Formats: sequence, structure tokens, C-alpha cells
Amino acid sequence: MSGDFGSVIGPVAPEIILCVLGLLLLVAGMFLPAHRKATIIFWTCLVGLGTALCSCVMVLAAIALSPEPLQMPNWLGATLRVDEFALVLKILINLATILTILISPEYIQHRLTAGRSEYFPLVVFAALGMTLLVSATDLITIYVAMELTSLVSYVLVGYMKRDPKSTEAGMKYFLVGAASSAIMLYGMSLTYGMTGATDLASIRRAIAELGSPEPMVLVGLILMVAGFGFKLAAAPFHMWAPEAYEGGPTPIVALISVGPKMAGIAVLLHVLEIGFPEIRDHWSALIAAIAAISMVLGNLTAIPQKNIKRMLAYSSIGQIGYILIGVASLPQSMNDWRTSGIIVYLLVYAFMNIGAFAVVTAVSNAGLSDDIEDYRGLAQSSPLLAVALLVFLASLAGLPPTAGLWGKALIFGAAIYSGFTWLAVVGVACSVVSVFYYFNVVRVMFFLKATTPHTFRNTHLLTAGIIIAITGTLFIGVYPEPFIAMARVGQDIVAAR
Amino acid sequence: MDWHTCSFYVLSVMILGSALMVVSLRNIVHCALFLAFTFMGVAGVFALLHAEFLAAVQVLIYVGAITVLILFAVMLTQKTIGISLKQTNRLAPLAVLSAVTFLCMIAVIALNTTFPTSGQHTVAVSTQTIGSAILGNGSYVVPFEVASILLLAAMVGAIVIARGQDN
Repeated sequence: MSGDFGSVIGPVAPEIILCVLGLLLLVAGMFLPAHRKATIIFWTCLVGLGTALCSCVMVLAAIALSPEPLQMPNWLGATLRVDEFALVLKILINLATILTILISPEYIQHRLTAGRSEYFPLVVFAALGMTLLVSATDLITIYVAMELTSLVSYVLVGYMKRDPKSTEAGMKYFLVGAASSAIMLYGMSLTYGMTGATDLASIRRAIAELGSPEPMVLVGLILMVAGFGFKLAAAPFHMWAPEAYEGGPTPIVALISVGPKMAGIAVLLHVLEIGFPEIRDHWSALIAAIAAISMVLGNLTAIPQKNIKRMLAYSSIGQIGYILIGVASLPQSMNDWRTSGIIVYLLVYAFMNIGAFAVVTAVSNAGLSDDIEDYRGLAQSSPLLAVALLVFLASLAGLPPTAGLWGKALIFGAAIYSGFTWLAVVGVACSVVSVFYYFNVVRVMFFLKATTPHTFRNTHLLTAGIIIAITGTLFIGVYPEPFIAMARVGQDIVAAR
Repeated sequence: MDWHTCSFYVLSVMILGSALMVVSLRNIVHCALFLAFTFMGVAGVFALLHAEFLAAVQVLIYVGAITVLILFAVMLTQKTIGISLKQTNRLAPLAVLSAVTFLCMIAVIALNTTFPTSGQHTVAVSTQTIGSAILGNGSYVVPFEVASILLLAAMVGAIVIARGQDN
């Protein structure tokens, strides 16, 4: 046993904290007195997630400040790699989970008839799966962590048992998810058959030894990318998203529209950049095609939607298209904007998308439905919510002075730099189209009169969540430099190590 | 054709044939029984590859536990025994078409691929090798431990979905 306790578990401290927190909350749910249970579990969860967030920051600081590369404890083997890129994403995932937790209590109080005390531990397990995914560099770890995230998501989407829509959403999400896992596993087994290895670095060496790329290697990669595409809800693998978003509990939809996307992008980058850099030309074209289809299909289908959660589902399919442009671009060593583009976009996306769903949660807590029609006159009945939604939608559309602008600017810059000018053109055109449906909601909120006035009495927690999200969206919008610089810290994502 | 290759083909026919039965028969109990045959066939393939431990585990867990569990679930669920379930819908021909296309594509590619083989005789996989691959230093400790969290989370989720209201 070499080194002290800190260096043995240090790099995976965030995962260990999340794991212990989840188990603790499960046990606490059984023994706490019924009248105090909800409060204690909520605050423990919040403090625990905060601790996990701080531990991510500390590990990141340790890596960034130490002159030599961080020594990984050898019990980890090749299954996990903790680098700056992974840690920045872990911070984002913990942040997204904290925001989700903040907007949850009132909603679950109103809507859930069962499993209130299991809700928080399950959310923590989902966060654990995602933080593991962003570090995973071994096909088996990727698969297990992805299943952890997905299984918890299926359960949480179908959590409102009284609501047939929620049950249907959970069922559809589960069936499509299970089929996509099978496709991904088939791809992994073909890759293993061709390379004889499950860790990405060895896979790369084996492919380099094969010389000219065998078609079977490509088939394995395509099937794996299809599996990841399902988890990312990128077109043409997006069919489950509208139903799952419409039927699921809104705070959970906020989480699954952001968290698994971050984790999925990290997995995609790790697999492609560590495992398959030899056949970059092939996968780059593949990802570019998926990006283009997602952008066009997501943004065009969002236009006729009548339900705001469905609209946000299609919008998030479009958003993942923009982020995939960054994945298709040239690596950071040749292209200064790629990694910062992806990280800044994901950061911004976490704030604006969770923010938008937080407003949807607040509106449905007031007894209104999720139909865009019901947002009539929101500006009069609750100016805070209306202005907040305006900011988030403007940011999703990429308008200044919100943060969405910078994410898009960096990503499109990276695309042009990599010779994907056509993708950048498609992206800009889709952004213009997106203004149309985002601002349709704004028109309804500000310029139409409400039929019946509603009173909004939101808890401080929900308001705090919305205010954090607005602050993030606007602050990054007017002063993006530190975040772009922070993203540069992790710029050598996977500089061929 | 030596007995090794011969038994491989026999097992393959058994696996694929019973798998087809699982997805096409109309009586759910028959489906479950054919599922057991599929799992037995897979156990046979493991045994052929000298993975005796895996073969034993396959029989114990899949045939012994999972199939029996499915049969229990069928038995405890009302109105499923004895009725004729249709396993297909009107999109079935399309699904068959795309599956066959995919099969042809994979088959053509597989026939033109030389899989890199080690040339050595099959390594005898003992329980010891498996044990140190799962728990030894620099091995699959992380996925192994995550799998236990995964199973716990899945179980909690299933209970939440299945049980009644909070008191």
C-alpha cells in the first residue's frame, strides 16, 4: 500500500461522497419520523451534493496546481481517468443536480403519491452514474455507469403512478433505452472481437496495428455511436424524448435533459478521441451528419408544438445538435475553440435549460397545465417567472446579452476552423428558426391577456433555483472570459496520452 | 468436421431456434420455457470455449433463477395464463425487413473480415482468474462495485413503482 489515504481515494472522492450520500438517504428514509423526514432528507441531500461539488473543485485544483501529472491509485486500473475535462464536467453535473433538487420539493409534495423519500436517493444515484461516465475510459465501466444512469432515469420518469402519461413515458423510455443498450453492447462486443481489449487506450493501439481500417471496426464504432446517440437524444435516435419529457415529473425532466447529455458527450469524446483517433475522418463525418439531422429536425418539429415540455424536448434535440458540431470538429491541439466551445456550451445549457424547466415547474405548481396556451398573461400574474422564462428562452435561441450566444459563437467558430463551414451555416439557420418558436411563448406570456388570473406562491427554494439559473445565464453572457479560460484548463481533453 | 465444430452448430441452431420461438409463440408459458432452452444453449457455448465456470453460472442464474422468476411472475399475474397473446403489430413486416437487411450487411462484412486471433489454445479460465480480474489491483474493481449500486438502485426503483401509496 503506497501513499496516504488521500492519494488512494482522493481522485474519486466525488464519486465516493455521492455513493455514501445515496445509501445514507435510503437508510434515513426508513428510520426518520414521518413528519420530519422530508425536510431532513432534502437538506442532507443538498449539503451532500454541495460537499461533492467542493470535492470536485479541490481535486481539480490539485491537478491544475501540481507540476507533475496526478498519480492515479493503481486499484483504479484503466477503468477511470480523472483529468481536468472530466472534473469540469463533474462540477457541472453536481451543479445541475443541486438545481434539480432545489426545484423539486414543492412539485413532489403536490404530485407524488408514493416514493417521496426514495426520490432524492435515486436522483443522487443518477448523479453518481453521470459523474462516473465522464471519467470512464473502459467499455465495461462505460456500460455499467450508463445503465446506472439510465435505469434510475426510467424509474424517475415513470414516478407519477397516478398519471397515465408518466407511466407511458417511463415505459417507452425503458423499452427504447433497453433496445439501445443492446445495440451499444453489440457494437462493444464487435470492437472487443476486433481489438481484444476493453480499455480505450489498448483499443487504439490494436487499431493502429491493424493498419488499414477493417470495415468491422467501423461497424462496431457506428453501433456504439448509435447507442450513445439514444442516450443523448440526438436525431435520428430521439423518438423517446418528446414522450419522456412530456410525461415525466418536470424537475426530473430538467435533470435528464441536461445531465445525461453532459455525460454522453464526455463518453463520446473519450471513446472517439482515445479509442478511435486513427479513423477520425470516418467518425467526424458521421457525427457531423448526426449533428445536422438533429439541428434541422429538432428545430423544425419544435415549431408546431402546443405543449411547452414537448417544445423544450424538440428544442433540446436541436441543442444537442449544436454541441455535436463541437465533437465533429478537429481536436484541440489544432483548433483552439473546440473544447472551450463544448464546455462553455454545456455550462450555459445547464443553466438555461434547467432554468426554463424550473419556470415550467413553478407554473404547474400553481395549478396550470403545461400547454403554451396556459402561459397567457404570465407577465401580469407573475412578472418574475415571465422575465425569467424570457431570459432562458433568449439564451436558448442564442441572443445577446445572454450566455447562449457565447456557446454558439465558440462552437460555430470551431466548426469553421475545422472546415465544416456548411455545418456552421446550418447551425446559424436553425438558430434563426428557433427564435420563432421560443418567442412564440414570449408573445403569449407578454402580449395576451390571461383568461383567469392565477396567484403564484412559490417557495423560496424554487425562487432561489430560478435566480441562480438567471444569474448564471446573464453573468456568463456579459462576462464570458473567466469561463472560457476555465474551459481552457481542460483543453487537452484527450491529447493523445 | 470435428465434433467441436459440429456441436457448435448444433448449439447455434438450438439457441437461434428457441430464441425465435420466444418472440413468436402466443402462450407466455411456452415462451418462458423456450427462453430456458436459449440460456442452456448459451451455457453450452461457454462450455465449448472452456469457460466452465461461466457455463455453470449461466445455468444457475439464467436457467435456474431468471426463468423460474419469470414463470413465478406469470403465475402470480392474473389473466395471463391460457390466453393467446399476439406478439406482433402491423409494423412487423417492416421490422423483419430491417432486421434481415442488417443481418445481411453484418454477414457480408463478417465474411470479409479476418478476426485477429491469438493462435494459442484456449486459456483455461479458472474461478481464480475471474476473481482476480474482478477484484485484483488494476482490474475491473470499479465496474464491479458500480454494478452493485446499479442493482440496488434498480431494486429500489422497482419497489417504488410496484408498491402502493405512501402512508
